[in-house]
Amino acid sequence: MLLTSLGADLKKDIGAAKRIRLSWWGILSWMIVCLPVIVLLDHAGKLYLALPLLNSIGMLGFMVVVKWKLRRHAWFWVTMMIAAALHVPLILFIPWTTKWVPALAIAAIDSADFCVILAILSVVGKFMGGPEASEG
Amino acid sequence: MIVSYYVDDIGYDEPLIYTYCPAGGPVAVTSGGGAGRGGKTQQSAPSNGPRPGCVSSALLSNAVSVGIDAVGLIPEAGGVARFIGDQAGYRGVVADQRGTKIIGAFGKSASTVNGLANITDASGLGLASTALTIVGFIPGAGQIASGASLTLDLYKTYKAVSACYSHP
Repeated sequence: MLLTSLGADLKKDIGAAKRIRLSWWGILSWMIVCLPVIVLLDHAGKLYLALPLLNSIGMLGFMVVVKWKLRRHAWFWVTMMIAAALHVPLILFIPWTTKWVPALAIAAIDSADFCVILAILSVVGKFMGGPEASEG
Repeated sequence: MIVSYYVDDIGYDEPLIYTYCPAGGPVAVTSGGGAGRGGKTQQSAPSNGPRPGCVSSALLSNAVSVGIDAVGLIPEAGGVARFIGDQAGYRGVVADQRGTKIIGAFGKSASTVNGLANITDASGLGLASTALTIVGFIPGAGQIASGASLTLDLYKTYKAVSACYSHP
């Protein structure tokens, strides 16, 4: 019963996420945010971490946009912080390739990452605030 | 081609001959009537000219990655998709749908070409393929990934072009 409900919530949230598009100024703003991060990492000699780091930040930000209705719940922000903390070892310890990978391939990995965070949020939401809390 | 020109009207005791090298090599400044006539030659700071063919080579090598990464930025409805659909002979919503399919096919073929060219490791593509199969493609994630990749591509292009202007 709980699994069925979680599955339905997840499907609904993924559907909602698929309808979201960034406007041209949203993309431009995102690229402006990316630039100093890339420059800093290059100066530190860790340019290979740029895409994993930026995509993780991007996905967490995208999650906040999708689940914006949950912004008043403390458990939502705590869960997001835990998700962000879990991304740190993922970024640092996975040997990311220095070769070029097309953005569409990275987007597929991002989509999977997004769905995992979404599932975690749904589970936490069920336990913390009942069915209405996880609907976001 | 080396161009030398004579400067004698700037009030110095000794005339100066500047040698300009368009290929971007160091500039020699000769004073006192020229090196062959007992003048002193010293190397000045390198010129600002790029090495021949370096800039175009740097731009071309990064153009493919910039182009492919930019595909993810294209919104599915309207805009470029509509234009591409129109070019294929369709109108309105049908043009959007056809254009989107063409863009999607281009993205997929780009990944295939990339894999065939052994540019990236197969494990990354395999993981991406598995992820796509499981969850499907989220356009917002595509735009975010494309924005980040495109910024990195442009930065790398800038660095490659800048390297053409620096001489050891």
